[in-house]
Amino acid sequence: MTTVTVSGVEVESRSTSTVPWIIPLAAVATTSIVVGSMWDISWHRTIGRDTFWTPAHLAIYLGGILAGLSGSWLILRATFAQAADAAAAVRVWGFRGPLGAWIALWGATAMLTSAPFDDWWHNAYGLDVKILSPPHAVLGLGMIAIQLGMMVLLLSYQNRGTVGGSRVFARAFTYAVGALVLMLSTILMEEVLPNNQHRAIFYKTTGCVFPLFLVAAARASSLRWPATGAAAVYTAISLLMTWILPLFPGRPLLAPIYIPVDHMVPPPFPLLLIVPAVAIDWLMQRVRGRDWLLSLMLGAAFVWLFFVVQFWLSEFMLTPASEHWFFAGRQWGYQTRPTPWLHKFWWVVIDGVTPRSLLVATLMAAASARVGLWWGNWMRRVVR
Amino acid sequence: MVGELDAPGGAVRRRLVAALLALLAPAVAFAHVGSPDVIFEGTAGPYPLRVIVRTPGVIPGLADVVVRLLGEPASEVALQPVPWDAPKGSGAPPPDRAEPVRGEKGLYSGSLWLMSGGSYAVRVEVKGAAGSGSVMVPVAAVATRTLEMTWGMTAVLLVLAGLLYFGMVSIVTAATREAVLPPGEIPDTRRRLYGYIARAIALLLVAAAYGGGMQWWRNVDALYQKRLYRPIRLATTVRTVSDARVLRLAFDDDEEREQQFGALMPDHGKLMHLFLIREPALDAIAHLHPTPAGKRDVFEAPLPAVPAGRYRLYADITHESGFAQTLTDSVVVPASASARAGDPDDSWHTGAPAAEPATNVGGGYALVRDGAGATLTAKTEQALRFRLIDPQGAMVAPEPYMGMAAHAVITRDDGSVFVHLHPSGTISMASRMLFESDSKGAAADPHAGHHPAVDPVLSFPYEFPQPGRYRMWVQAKAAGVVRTGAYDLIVAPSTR
Repeated sequence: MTTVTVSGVEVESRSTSTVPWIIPLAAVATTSIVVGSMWDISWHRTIGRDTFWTPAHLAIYLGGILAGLSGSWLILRATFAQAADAAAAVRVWGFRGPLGAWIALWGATAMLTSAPFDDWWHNAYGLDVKILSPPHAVLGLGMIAIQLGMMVLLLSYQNRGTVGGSRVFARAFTYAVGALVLMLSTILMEEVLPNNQHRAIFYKTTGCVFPLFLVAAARASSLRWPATGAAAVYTAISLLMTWILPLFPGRPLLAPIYIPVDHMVPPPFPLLLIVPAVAIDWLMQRVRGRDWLLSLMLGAAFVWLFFVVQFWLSEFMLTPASEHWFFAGRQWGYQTRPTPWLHKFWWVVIDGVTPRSLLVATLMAAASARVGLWWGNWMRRVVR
Repeated sequence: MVGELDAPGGAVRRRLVAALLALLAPAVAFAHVGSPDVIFEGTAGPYPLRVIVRTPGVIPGLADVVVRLLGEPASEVALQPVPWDAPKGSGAPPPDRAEPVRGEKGLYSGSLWLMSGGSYAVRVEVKGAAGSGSVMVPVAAVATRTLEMTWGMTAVLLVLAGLLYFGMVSIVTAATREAVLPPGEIPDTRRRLYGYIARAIALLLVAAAYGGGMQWWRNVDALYQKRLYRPIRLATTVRTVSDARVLRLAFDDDEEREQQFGALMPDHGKLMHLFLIREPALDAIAHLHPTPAGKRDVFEAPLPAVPAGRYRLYADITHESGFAQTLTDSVVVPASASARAGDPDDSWHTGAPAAEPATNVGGGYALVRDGAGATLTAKTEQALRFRLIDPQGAMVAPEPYMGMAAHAVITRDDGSVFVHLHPSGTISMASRMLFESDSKGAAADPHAGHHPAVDPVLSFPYEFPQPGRYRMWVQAKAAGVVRTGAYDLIVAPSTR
């Protein structure tokens, strides 16, 4: 085949010139999915009743459709049309396409699968009142796969790009990582409420999840402060949702109503991931070639810095002073019973933070960072 | 002697009946057995109406509500779900408009979400030229249904799950094999080997993830099955005290249930309305009112002069939350020479139905069923109408019997359906009183909102849940005596 003789540089120059649309498309798809998810959760905490056609659902479908169609387009084009695209592609079931396109298409298929599954689930077990259920997990995996797919796609362009072009893709990649971090924190919303932030499990969970993605992104990106950039994107979108949603009126359409809300209930104030993210970038700029040691330092930096800022912020978030447009503290959905329990830290007697539990969280975060470094090393080399 | 000879077969049959009831009970037995739809007939202010609430079977779930105006036309009918434990005033969402059904004058339909398990009321609000009025229809919101997955849905999900499984494995293989190769370069043997290794690992890991997902599903299902509504279990015995038979009912109400539904409260002034129906001939019925026997959750009632035999038991109780349920059991009643007086409102009847239409109910009175020759159809809203005829042949209004114009019991011959009906429908009057007083902020008249007791035509609104042979007993009071008529009803399958 002629494609095997095409050099990397030649392929690159064609790809960046013919596929710039992927950047705005990836941004719209990833943003649409995560904003739609947060909007939908707010909808369920404010109005309760929904249909297939709520704007929040439409935003999620838009992300899935954009990712599914663009992934399919890239695959069909690489398989049947352009030799250059075929060269920078991986082969699956006889078709060729960029790895990110395959992952995004898989995500769209998972989202599609979750629809009849979720519908049956509601008929069998009733409308779910928790975020996490098996069909929602399939949907969540699909949405995460779309975001990962877009990340890998942008990364492949960054990794084989010219200096100028690669920087644009690197920035887009950072944005996609931020959107993914927001997606993860949205899925974990119930677990990371301020009331849970004095628990050991909170620091273990966040220590397992976030270093993996932030460290992998930092290692894979060609930028200087990628983890910080991703955390900033996470914080910015989250804050915008926290500030914009309550501007819209909304009232419950389902009973029982324990809290008569009259505006869209905002998501919780974002986690202060930006603080450990700065430390991640700072450490990764300085410690090179010693990944095991680096992981340990990253794990410790993540858990302890995050602990210091988040532990005290949560103290504030449970006070009436946090009931302010900026922090949007102590905001609960209509179906929550207004008891003093809402303003307390939960399960601190059996699962409160101790030095020992923070040490365990540190080891978990270090392991997460180590996997992130391996993954990042691989992602740095992804060119297809 | 008969009892002894009968015992072995009887024990087997009793176990079979108990097993049948146990099988049916989880599926359908809250406030009646096998008849989950709520039917109410009464008035909302100046508007006579009939309301049918079809409960969803899962919670949270969508209940379908049908409102039929029986008199004045209205300009608007609205529906509102009111949970028992929601804050008064602000705890219910704004009412939803029920939509007029095309082609049927005065018929409206709508649907309401029942979000939490327990006691609810559907508030029906009617507005029109005659003014506005509202009425509360109590509904027990409980999960009663287990949904099997159809073959079609199983096939769709299996295909999609397979696509995702092999798709994921293939993507991981391809990613390992060639994602980091410079464009155009063909994977060498080493990279292909990496691909094979990744494929093997992915096959296992993704299978393990599927296994974990299935286990999660099984756990959710097990929890759901555990939380499916089941009526409180009854343990019933009959003992003989001074030659008279005393029925003893013990039930295992636990604290969790009491917290959810509340303690018992009286309905028509009685904590329990117990119906005994002799099987298999359905030729004896007793409507008794057991009273607490000193111990917690133990009730007793002396048995009237009913013949010996095996009886099905249906005990209607209402909780302080307004949640009404029917407990079921069966018991063998021994023969006895004498009977002790029980509650003054206890009544009983023996004998097979007389040939309709002239059903003699004693003292020269007759309870005549209107439209005895007409075909009854399952799953169709209808009114079963009766007239009480005095010895002179004139239609008379019955005297109130426990505050109601009449009581009726309908059971399917196999015991799979049991319902205790009034002219106001299938609802518990105590539940209605609770919701009405909550909404109006004062003690309400328990019989407000349904047809007055002086209505000479006794009309029981009902919808047979399934076709089959049914027996119905109607009880009305005349000349100070409760008079019971028995009727055989054949219900044809629904053509809908």
